[in-house]
Amino acid sequence: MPLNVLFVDMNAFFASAEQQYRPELRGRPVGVVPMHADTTCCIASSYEARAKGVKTGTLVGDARQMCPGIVFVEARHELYVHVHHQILGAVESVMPIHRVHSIDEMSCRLSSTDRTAESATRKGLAIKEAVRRRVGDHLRCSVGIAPNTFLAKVASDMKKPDGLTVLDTPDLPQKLFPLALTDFPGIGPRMFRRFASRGITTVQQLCSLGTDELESIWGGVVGNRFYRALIGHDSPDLPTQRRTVGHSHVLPPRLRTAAGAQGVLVRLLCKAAARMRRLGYCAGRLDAYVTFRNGGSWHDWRKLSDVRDTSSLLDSFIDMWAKRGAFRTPLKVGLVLSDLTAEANATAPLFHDQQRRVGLSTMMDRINSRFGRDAVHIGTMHEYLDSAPTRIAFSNVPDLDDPTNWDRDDEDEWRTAPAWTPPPQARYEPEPMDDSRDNL
Amino acid sequence: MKCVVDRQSLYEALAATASVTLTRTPKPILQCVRVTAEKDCLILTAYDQEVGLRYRVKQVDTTKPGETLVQGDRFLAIVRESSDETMALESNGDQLNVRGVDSHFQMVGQNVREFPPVPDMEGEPDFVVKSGVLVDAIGKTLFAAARENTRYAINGVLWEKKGKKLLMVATDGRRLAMCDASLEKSVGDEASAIVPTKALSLIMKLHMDADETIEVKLRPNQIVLRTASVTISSVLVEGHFPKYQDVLPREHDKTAVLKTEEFLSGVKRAALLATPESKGVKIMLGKEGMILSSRAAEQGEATIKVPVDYKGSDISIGFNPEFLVDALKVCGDSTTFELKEPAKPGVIKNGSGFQYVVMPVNLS
Repeated sequence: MPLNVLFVDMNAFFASAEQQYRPELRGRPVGVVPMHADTTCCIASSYEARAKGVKTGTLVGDARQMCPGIVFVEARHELYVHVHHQILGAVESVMPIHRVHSIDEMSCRLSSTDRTAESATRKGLAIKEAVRRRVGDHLRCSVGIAPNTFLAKVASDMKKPDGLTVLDTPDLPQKLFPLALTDFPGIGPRMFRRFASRGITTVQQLCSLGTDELESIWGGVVGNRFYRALIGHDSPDLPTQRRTVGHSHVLPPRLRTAAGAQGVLVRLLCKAAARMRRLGYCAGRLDAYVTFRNGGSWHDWRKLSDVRDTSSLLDSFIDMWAKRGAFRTPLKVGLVLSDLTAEANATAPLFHDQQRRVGLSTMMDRINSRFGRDAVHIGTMHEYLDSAPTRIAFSNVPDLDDPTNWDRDDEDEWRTAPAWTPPPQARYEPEPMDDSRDNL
Repeated sequence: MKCVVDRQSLYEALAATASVTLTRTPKPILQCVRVTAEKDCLILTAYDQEVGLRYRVKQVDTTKPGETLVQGDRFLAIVRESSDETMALESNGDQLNVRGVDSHFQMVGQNVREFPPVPDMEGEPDFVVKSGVLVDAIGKTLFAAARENTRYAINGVLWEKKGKKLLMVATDGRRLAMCDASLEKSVGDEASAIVPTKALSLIMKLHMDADETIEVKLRPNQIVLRTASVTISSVLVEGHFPKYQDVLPREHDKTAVLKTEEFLSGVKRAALLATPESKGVKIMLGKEGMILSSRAAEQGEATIKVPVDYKGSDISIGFNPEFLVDALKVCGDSTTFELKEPAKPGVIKNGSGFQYVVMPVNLS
C-alpha cells in the first residue's frame, strides 16, 4: 500500500503559542490554566514543564511542587484560534489540507507524485519550515506519514517534539512493536483492560490478531475498522452529520448564584443560537442543565418545532427555568440545541409575529457580524457580556470570522499579532462532532 | 361495596379512565381510579386535576352499594389479562377484592375520601352535538396542535361557537387545520375556548355511537362534555390563540384537484428518500401534471408522478412530507390543493368544511 496521508500534530500547542507571543516565557516551564486558582489544573504544559512531569490534568498545586519556577498563564483561546488559522495557512502553502481534526491536528492527502518515502518526507520538512517561517520559531510540529490517517496519526506521535516519522508498508507491523497498546487511537484504559483480560498486552500480540478476534473484543464493526486501519488499509472517511450545538461554562465564584447561573445560561443560549444559525440549522430540542457545587444537578428540556430565532429559544428557556424547583449553589451551567434540521429544509413560520422574531435574529446576526460580537444584544444579557468567553474543545475549533467567538476587549490585542487572512475560497470547518461543547 | 360486572364493559371503561391518571406524580392519589357501585351502575372516576372522566358501566349487578379507590393501571392490567365473562368486585375498607373464575386479587387501595372532587355538568348545556360529528372534527384538527410548546395557547384546539356551527382550529406555528361541525342545538351567544389536547384525545378514545349526542357546557376556565355514559371535564388552555384569520390565504391562482389516496401514496413514497437533514418533498405542478420528488445526499433520488386536474402556471414548491401526510389522512376521497407562490403557504381542502394551511420549506 502506498503512502497516502501526511499528518501534522502541533507540539504542546497552547503552551508553545504562549511562548511564541510572550518572549519572556521562552525556555521556561509554562503551565496553561483555565483560570488562576490553586484548585484548577493545567490544560497544557510546555516541554520544559513536561520534563519535570507536569502534564495536562496536573493540579496547579502539584505542578508547583513538581516544577518549582513554573509559570502559570491563563488560557487565551482566541489567540489559539488565531494561531491555528495561521498554521492552516502555512500548511496550505505547501499542500492542500484534507481534514482538520482538531485545534492542533490536521491531515493532508499525498498526491500520486509524493507517495514515496523520500518525496513525502520532503513535503513534511517543507511544512515544518513553512510553520516556522509563517507562524513562529517556537511552534513546532511532528509529522507522521503512512498509508492511512490512523497510522499517520500514530506515526506523528512516535517522535516528539519536532519529529518526522514514516511508516511505510515494508515497515509494518514491526515498526509498531515498541509502542504501547494505549498509543493507538481507540485504545483507552477500558479497552486496554479488555485486551489484557484476553492476555494481549503488547502491540506484537495485537498485530497477530485477526479481524474476527478484534470484532469480538470490540463487540462490533469497530474491531473490523481497527483491523483494516492497522494493516494500512486506506478506508474512505465516514460521513458525519452535526447533531448538536451547545455550550457549557464553569461559573466564576461571583456568579455562583441562581441569578448568575441564569444570566450566563442566557448568554450561552444567545451564543449557541447565533452559532446554530450561522451553521444553517434550526433546533428541535433545547436542553439546559446546572451542576451544583456540592453534588447533584438540575436538568430540563423542551421540544421545539424547527426554531431558529433567539427569542423563541429564550421563551423556552425561561419557561423551564421558572419551573426549576429546589436549587443549590451552581458550579457549572450548560445547554444544548439538538434535533437539528437544515435551515433550508425547515418549514417556515406561519404567523407574522414568529416571522418577525426570525427576522430580528437574522438582523442582529448581520449587525454583530459587521460591528463585532454583542454590538447588539438582548437586555437581560447585558450584565453578563464578559462571562463565558470562547473556549476551545480540542475537537472543535471556532471559526476566525465567527463574531460569536470574539470578545470585543480582545480585539485591540490581536491587531498587534501578525496578520493572516484566510483565502476566501478556503473555509476551514472542523469535522462536525456529536457534541460541540466549548469547555475544556 | 359488592357487585358483579361485565368484564368487557369494565375493561373499556377502565382503559379510558386509566388514561387520565398520572403515572408519575408526587400525589399517589392521582394515580388512582375511584370505583363507585350504585344500585344500577358502576361508576369509574379519574382526575389529574386538569382533566376528569366519569364513566358509567351499566352492565352490573350491585348487591351492596359503596366505593373504593385503587391504582388505575394495576386494576386495568388485572381486568385486561382476565378471560372471564364477569368479574366480582368487593371492597373491604380501603381494599378491593377482584374475583374471577380462577383468580382472586386483593388490591390495596387508598382512602376514597381524599380523592379530589371532580367537576360535573351544572345547568343547561351551551350546545349539543352528535358524537360522530364532534369526533370527526377533532380528528381533522387535533394532529396540527402543538405539543409542549411554550406558547401555551397553541397547545390546544380553539373552539368557536357561532350559531349552530362549531369551528375548530389548531396550529403548531407551521401549519393550521380548521374544521366546521354542525350543532344539533345551540343556546346563548357566541362562545370560544381553547380545549387542551389531552381532553380531546380522550374523546377520540371513547367508543361512542356516531348518533349519540354530546352535551357541552363552557365555563370561563372549564369545559364539561356529557353523554349518557361519560362525563369529561377539563380546564381550558389559557392565553390568546393566534389570529388564525390573518394566515388564511385570501387568494390563489393555482388549483390542483387530486384523488386523496393517490396524492397520499405519492407523498409517502417520495418521502422514502427524504432524510432528517433533507425533510422536503418537492412538488412540481404544470403541464406535465404533478411530479413529486426528493433527494437524500448519498442515498439517492425519488420521482413520483401523480394524476391531477391542474389549473394554473408552472410551480415548484417544497413541503415537509409529514405535514402533508397528516392532512391527507383526514381528507375524503378528493382533495383540492391551492397554491400561490413557492414561498407562500399551500392550502388543502376537502370540500366538507376542512381547510389546512401549511407553510412550505425552502428547497433552494
